[in-house]
Amino acid sequence: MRLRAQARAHWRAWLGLALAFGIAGGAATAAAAGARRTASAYPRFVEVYEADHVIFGGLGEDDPDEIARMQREIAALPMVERATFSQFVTFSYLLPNGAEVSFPETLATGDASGTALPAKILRGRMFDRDSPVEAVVDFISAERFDLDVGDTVTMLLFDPETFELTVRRPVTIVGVVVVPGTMPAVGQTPFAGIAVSPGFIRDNAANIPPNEDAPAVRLVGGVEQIPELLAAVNRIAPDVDVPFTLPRHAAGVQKTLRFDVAALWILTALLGVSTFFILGQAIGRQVQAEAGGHSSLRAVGMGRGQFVGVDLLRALAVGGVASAVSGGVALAASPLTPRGLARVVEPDPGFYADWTIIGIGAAATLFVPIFLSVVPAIRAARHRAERVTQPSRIATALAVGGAGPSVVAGTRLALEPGRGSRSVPVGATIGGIALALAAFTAAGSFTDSLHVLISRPELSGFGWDMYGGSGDSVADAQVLAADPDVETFSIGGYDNITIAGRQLIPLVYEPGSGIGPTILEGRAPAQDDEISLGSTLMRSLGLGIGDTVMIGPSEQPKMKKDGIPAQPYTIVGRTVVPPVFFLQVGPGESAAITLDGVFRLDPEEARHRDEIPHLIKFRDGVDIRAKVNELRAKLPGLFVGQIRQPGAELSALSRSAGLPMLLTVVLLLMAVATLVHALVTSFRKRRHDLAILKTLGFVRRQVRAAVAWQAGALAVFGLVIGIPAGVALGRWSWRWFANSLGVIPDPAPPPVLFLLLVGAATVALANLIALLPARAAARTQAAVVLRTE
Amino acid sequence: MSVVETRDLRKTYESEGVPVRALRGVTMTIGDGEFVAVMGPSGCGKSTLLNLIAGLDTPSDGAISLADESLVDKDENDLAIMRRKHIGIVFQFFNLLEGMSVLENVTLPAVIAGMKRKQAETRARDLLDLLGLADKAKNAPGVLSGGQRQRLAIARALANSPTLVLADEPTGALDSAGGAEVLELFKRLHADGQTIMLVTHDHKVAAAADRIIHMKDGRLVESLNAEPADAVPAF
Repeated sequence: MRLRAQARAHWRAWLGLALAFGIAGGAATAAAAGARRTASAYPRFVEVYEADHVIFGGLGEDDPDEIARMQREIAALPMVERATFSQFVTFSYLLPNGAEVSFPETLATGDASGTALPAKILRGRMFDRDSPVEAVVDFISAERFDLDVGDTVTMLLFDPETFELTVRRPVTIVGVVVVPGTMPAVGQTPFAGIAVSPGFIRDNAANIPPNEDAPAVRLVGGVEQIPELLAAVNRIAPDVDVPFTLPRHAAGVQKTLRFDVAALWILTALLGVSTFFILGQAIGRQVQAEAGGHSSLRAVGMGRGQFVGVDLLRALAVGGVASAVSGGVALAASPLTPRGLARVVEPDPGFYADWTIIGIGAAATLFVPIFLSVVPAIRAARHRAERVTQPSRIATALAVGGAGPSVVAGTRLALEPGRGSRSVPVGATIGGIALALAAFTAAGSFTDSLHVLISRPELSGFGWDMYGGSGDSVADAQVLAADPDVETFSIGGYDNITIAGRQLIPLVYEPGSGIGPTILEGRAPAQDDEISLGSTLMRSLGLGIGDTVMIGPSEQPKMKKDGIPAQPYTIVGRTVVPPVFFLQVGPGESAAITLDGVFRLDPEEARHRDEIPHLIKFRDGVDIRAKVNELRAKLPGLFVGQIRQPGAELSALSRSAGLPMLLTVVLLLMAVATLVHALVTSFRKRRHDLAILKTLGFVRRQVRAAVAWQAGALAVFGLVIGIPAGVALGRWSWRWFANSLGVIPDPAPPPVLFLLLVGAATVALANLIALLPARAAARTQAAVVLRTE
Repeated sequence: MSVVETRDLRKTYESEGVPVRALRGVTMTIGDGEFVAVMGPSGCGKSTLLNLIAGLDTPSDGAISLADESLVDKDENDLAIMRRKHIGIVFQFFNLLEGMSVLENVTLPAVIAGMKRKQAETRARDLLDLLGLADKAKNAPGVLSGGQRQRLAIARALANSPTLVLADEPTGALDSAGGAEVLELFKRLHADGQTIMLVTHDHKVAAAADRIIHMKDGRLVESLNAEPADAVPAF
């Protein structure tokens, strides 16, 4: 009976609580489901689009008949479900604006056999196999080179007589696609580029190098058959190159996506914690608000257990509705995931029901209100003498300082908890607002620092703009020295070494040239027996500055040199080195060594000094691609090894830069909900005080002003606590994150103007929220309120 | 001179769609310096009459004036301003602001009326001294006894030197000692020239007044000069 009576009187508040819990619970559930969906997107993608399990490279054979025999035999192996003969077409093409792009930044490939390209079409369509002028581009290259459906690129094919790339063949991009194997993967070589139609290869066969590679293979028994396949292929072609296996690639992709997944789990946790504290206070207030009749019911014999029971039943009702709402919200929000790169490859976009997570979320949303009601219910059931509350010192100080009566009254309403049935949890309200503002500021600070990292390549180790050479370093140096757009340059680039058994491609440079590794701690190597290591690499090796590490030549089959012993090098610094195209490690996983250091390891290399490329830094404002084109003209045969661009991890991060702000939008909404609930509850509980003020002569304007000041005071206190905490948290979390990435950890300076705007906006929003409660308060009928209370 | 004048004053409320005629044409006056008690059974309209005179409610019909100012055409803000100047109210359950100190409760009405803070505080201290609460100035109202709280409420009501003090069952929530204390205070105030209208159902309290107005069913039944408490006939 009591429960029914309460339901009749307070159903709006119950419904409001249920909706708030449901929405918050649904958001947390959606974030958790989104994390799982993001983590599973690529594995599902490769299954749906039937990715190749192994992509082979060269067969290590020159005889065309022998190559053809090997290709046939590999394709005919019993475990091979599908063999695709995708071949290298050219390593250079012209963009629509005439700029030339080339390997290793991009590839042009094609499949003469006409096997369907396993690709997800993002825009446009797949090429017509018979058309000689159609191609598709992978989404990474499309973004990098600003290509889209309808654009024409010009393939630069070999002239079979001169072996120069002088034959031009235009193709039209008809589709932007995602192909398994082209996703950025930490620690691996990407295969992004353009795929031309079989018709193009057929019509231009004379200008395309013959296919000397083993086929890409999809296996009957899946990835478990990879060892069996490799053993069989090694018997056919002992020197075959294996640049790609699906499990290794997928692991690299998962590493690239880990920040998105982690961010979604963090969002889940924060939403859960915020719901617990912020809405927990709301449910506590509701329990208190409905405990007003306890004394009368006590008088007619109702016991403590019954009071608690009624409160818990109410919580069950709220939880039941919230649970249903949370499931609906989670489903409705599912199209927002996955996030980042995973969203590109998601094979089944749109609504998605992760029933396991939805079930867990619904159960939590059901039980959390009950759990949060227990203590307030027990407290409310106890017959306790009301505590005497002390006046707020701040309000008193304002009064003594001459502040107007509305200001003082509003500040008291905000800061004084009151007593008994009129009490309001001031601390929790301010805490909830401060928590949301701290999270907002921290996320803003973090996002700011992330944008700075992405927009300033030098922070991730790029102290230069381009690395390449024509094969004649003397000629290169003359051209570069005479070019006014070149700020500085250094002979060097990248080399292959082994460190503690791991393959590494460290940065190689000449000290004193003005180009070198970005140093986080210690110094850059200057001598031939010195090396600097990335933070992550150093941590994983358990080494520090001053330690000695054994460096050996590359262990890669085609680069292996016998008879070169490992040499000891002293670690002199902690460095940030951007990944080279061929090995997309994180910026903290590489190393830097001097040119003389390379020669010390392998004296043979010194004989080829005149062929070594350069690291080049252009002056600020120079259009790098246009400049590269210009250098191609001045240095025939110029090989461009790398143009400054973020590696796989940073590229993935830049797509997820908005995720922290998504979190803060949710938290801000919860802060708004907290403030609304606090003001509405406070207005109901403080009607008595407002009525007294009216009897003492407050006009309506003064009552409205008092409520506005109340909202403003809550907001200001939330700001005073939340903003500094948020700035500190943002800077700390950024440093932790940057150190884990291995980049320069300096956070962006606090945006003072932005924070001031946040402060002003928060106070303005608080006053906006207070408008309706203020109007209602101004209309309080003092005589009625004082009579009924 | 009349401090309060009502002529055929009426007030009708709507309660669940049914009109409730709380006042059905009350005509009365309260002279300057008079102490008037209004008595009657529960629901007779005495609190409604008090609220109308205080400007906390507006009449449905009739005329009402306070200190020669008609209250009929005033809006809520005008009534609030009028209350600052002319009215001090004492409630049965004190209606103090628990979040303020004793001193601040008494200072507030004067500050609302526009008095400078220091001046208002000085006046408040004088009133607290007069009412025997000077040593409680910094305390919260919650620590006071019932009688002390009502004395605080009276001090607050006197903060702006009101033309009229209205008291709604001021001894209703007090024990006999507290009630006697408060009644004595009202007598003192009256002796100093304060005009008082007091609503009560207690004959002993009403007997302290110059005149007793009896009400029944929203009407004024009779208005008599007060007699000693032991001479009042039982209803």
